[in-house]
Amino acid sequence: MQHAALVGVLAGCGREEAVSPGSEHLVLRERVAGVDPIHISGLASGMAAVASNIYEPLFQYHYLKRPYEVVPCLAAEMPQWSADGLSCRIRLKGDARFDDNPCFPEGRGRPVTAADVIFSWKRIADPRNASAFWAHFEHHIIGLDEYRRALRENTPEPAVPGLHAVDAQTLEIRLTRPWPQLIQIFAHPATAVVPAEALQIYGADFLRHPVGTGPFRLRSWEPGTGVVLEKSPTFREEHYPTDGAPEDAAAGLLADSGKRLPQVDEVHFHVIETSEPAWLLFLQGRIDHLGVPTDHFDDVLDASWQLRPEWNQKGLCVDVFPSMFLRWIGFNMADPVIANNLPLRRAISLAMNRQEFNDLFLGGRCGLPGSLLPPGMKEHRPGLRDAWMTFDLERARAQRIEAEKIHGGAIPPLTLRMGGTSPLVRQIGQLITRWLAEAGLELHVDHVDERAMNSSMREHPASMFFGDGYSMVHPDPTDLFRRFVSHGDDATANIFHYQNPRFDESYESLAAMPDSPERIKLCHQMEDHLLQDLPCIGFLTYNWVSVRHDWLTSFKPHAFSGPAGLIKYHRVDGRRREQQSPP
Amino acid sequence: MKRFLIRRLLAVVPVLFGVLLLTFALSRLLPDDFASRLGGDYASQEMLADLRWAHGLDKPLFVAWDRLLSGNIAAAFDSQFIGHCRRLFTLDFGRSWSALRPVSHLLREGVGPSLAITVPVLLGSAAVSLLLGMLAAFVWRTRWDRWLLGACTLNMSIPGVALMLAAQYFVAFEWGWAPVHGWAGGRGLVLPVLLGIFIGLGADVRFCRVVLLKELHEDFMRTALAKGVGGWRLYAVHALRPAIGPLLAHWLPRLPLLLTGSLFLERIFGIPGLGGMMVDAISARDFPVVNAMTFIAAVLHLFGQTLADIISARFDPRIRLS
Repeated sequence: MQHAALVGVLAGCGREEAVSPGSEHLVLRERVAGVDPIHISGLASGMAAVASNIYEPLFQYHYLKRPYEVVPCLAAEMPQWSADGLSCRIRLKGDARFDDNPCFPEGRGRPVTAADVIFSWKRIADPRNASAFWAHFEHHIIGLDEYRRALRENTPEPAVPGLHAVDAQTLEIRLTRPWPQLIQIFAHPATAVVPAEALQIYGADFLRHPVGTGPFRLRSWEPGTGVVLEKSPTFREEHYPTDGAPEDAAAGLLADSGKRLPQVDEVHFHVIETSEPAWLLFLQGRIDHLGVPTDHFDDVLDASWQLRPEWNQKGLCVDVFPSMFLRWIGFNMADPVIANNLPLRRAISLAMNRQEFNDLFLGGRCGLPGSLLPPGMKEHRPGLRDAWMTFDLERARAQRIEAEKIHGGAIPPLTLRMGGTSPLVRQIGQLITRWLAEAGLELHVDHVDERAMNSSMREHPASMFFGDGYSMVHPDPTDLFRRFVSHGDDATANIFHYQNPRFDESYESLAAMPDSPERIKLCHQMEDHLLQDLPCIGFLTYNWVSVRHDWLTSFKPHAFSGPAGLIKYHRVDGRRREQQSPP
Repeated sequence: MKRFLIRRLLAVVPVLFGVLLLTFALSRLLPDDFASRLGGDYASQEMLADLRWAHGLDKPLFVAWDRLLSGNIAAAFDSQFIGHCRRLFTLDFGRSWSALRPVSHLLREGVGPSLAITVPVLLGSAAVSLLLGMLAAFVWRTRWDRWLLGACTLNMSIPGVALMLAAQYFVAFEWGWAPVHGWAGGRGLVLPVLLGIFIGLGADVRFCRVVLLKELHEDFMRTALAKGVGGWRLYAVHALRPAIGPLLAHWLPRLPLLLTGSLFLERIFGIPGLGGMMVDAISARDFPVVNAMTFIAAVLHLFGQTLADIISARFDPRIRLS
């Protein structure tokens, strides 16, 4: 069968060109103007999807194991820590090299060195680059903050004693305080290694001339419509993992064990900003994998989240996995009405009919949280069901009466700040107002731009807020608890205005502790602190639901690499695609 | 004519200055901190200050009065507003805050796809609506006129987006007559262009009909009829010529839409034009892009109006530019 997979019209690429049958086709939901690792804002962003297949950081997450486990990527092994935890040495893989590119002498890529790693991280520190990822480096590496300040003040660049190339292949990092989360930070694609030569040659156009060490390299860039990557011939020898989570063998995820990566020849990213065309292209077989659009959720899946038979017959598979995301309602703990009244916060939590929200707005696809740490983390307690994180109107009313006694009269109207002004957000506001009214509480809703929520809650806080929720950047509990810290260098994200000296103290210990059973125990204690004090109400956990054609295999969703970040492990059966796709 | 053009050019200056002031005020005085937006949840106050510095947002808004009073004139006018004016007037629109590339590069990339849609849509809808408008005027007060008006009303009643989605599903997906999505050269443009022409047709046909009917009932038409002018010449020459003024006044101010007018078509059919870029920029508060697009749209609008006046005067002897 002559099919478009062999010579296809590339949706969004402006011309017809040969497409390898072993190519993977994915959707980008936003236009990507270029890629530069230091500007990756979110793991689900288009830039992250493209960049993380071209560039590599020192570490990466094991593709299959859950809870998530960090393994070496450009590093040859895990860091060698000093006894005091204040310095570590990282050796680089000898066979890791930059892809061939005209920016190198004779166009031939060269091995990655420790100097490249230092150069790349200094770019994050350079204030002229305005990298948001600096927030994760700040105050950690000796001399790096001073280096940033010098560049800002236009004074001579000081040396950075905390970043030292021992030799071409060995990097030594000296820290201002113990930082065991370092390996997770260095597994983030924003810390990927770039060559100085590319920056010098391409300057501002570096965004369109990526030169990385990864499994793919740029083949073509069609502005606003798509990006095509092809297998990098200089990619080092790396193999598909031979072990994984217990259920992986039965799911066929170990079928490619030991095979050389990457398994697909090309990656075609198609920019499709609206959901309906993406769905139609998926049905035509031109897209291999797609998150199920809300409008088609009920058509595709039954109540138990299994594919309906007609879709099974079409050769589709469904993947459901919990994302590391928690939607919550936060309290302003600086508001005396809220802060001094635990029964009031409990009443509000008990009045929230989370299941109604889930059914009404999300087709029932989300989960109801029992705790704050999401599944997928080793610190998550599956059996934990917080007594207040549930819907019980009678108990809510009883707690409200208790709250009125503490307040000394009727509770004054509360204000809920919501991010966004769309009709959907307003409907959610009306729903929450109704719930609280049923519990005997009056609520006013005010709306701000969703991305201005944090600054508005810092500067002019309302009684409560309903914002974007909390999405983990790396699978360490400090990433969650940092939002509740009131003192110290890390106290930058506390829009709850929550203050608990015991919690702050525990956070300091937790942040410095290497992974151990004691650390997990401390983490559980801190989670209990929060559940007890209730500066926020767990609202919903989100499940990522996507469908794919069965010619795309060895596919396992991963929370910390984005939906398109680990393409090197995927396999596409071109023959099956040709047989099954509609002409 | 020269005096008219000079007067118009002089009038353009305060209008453009007003546009500059308005776009600047909107971008700087909104209660929204770009640095907090970019910095994310964990940004410290020091980092937020660095981000403002990197984007020039730490400079004084209009004038640094302390520097002015101390006699440092150059530093006093190193302000956000002066920079804003300089960038727009020199057509160096700065760097996009979200796409991180020079705005001029982004405009260059998007202008081709935008024009590929909007030029045929604008010309096509003008030609078709003029023809149908003339036809409607020709069959005035007959049942054909009523049918045509009914069709126009129906066309105006159907939401454009619904029509686009329906056409995409049936014409492209079900019947396979066009690509579902994508900038696949000429082939990918046919369906969006036809839709673009069709969607605005109802209102334009009704407008053309009304303008032509008005001219057909003027005294000079009776004169023409008395002189024995009839058939197509009556409509195409005697009625159309004086109607050119109002018709151009209707269409030429749409020139800015050449850049931004195909937003929904771009989004639904995957055309990488400037309309989608403008919406993305507004949503991301990417003010260098928003300001550049607004400035260019204002210039095009003024140009369109001036052109409409000149052409109207050229074809309609009742109009004098003085």
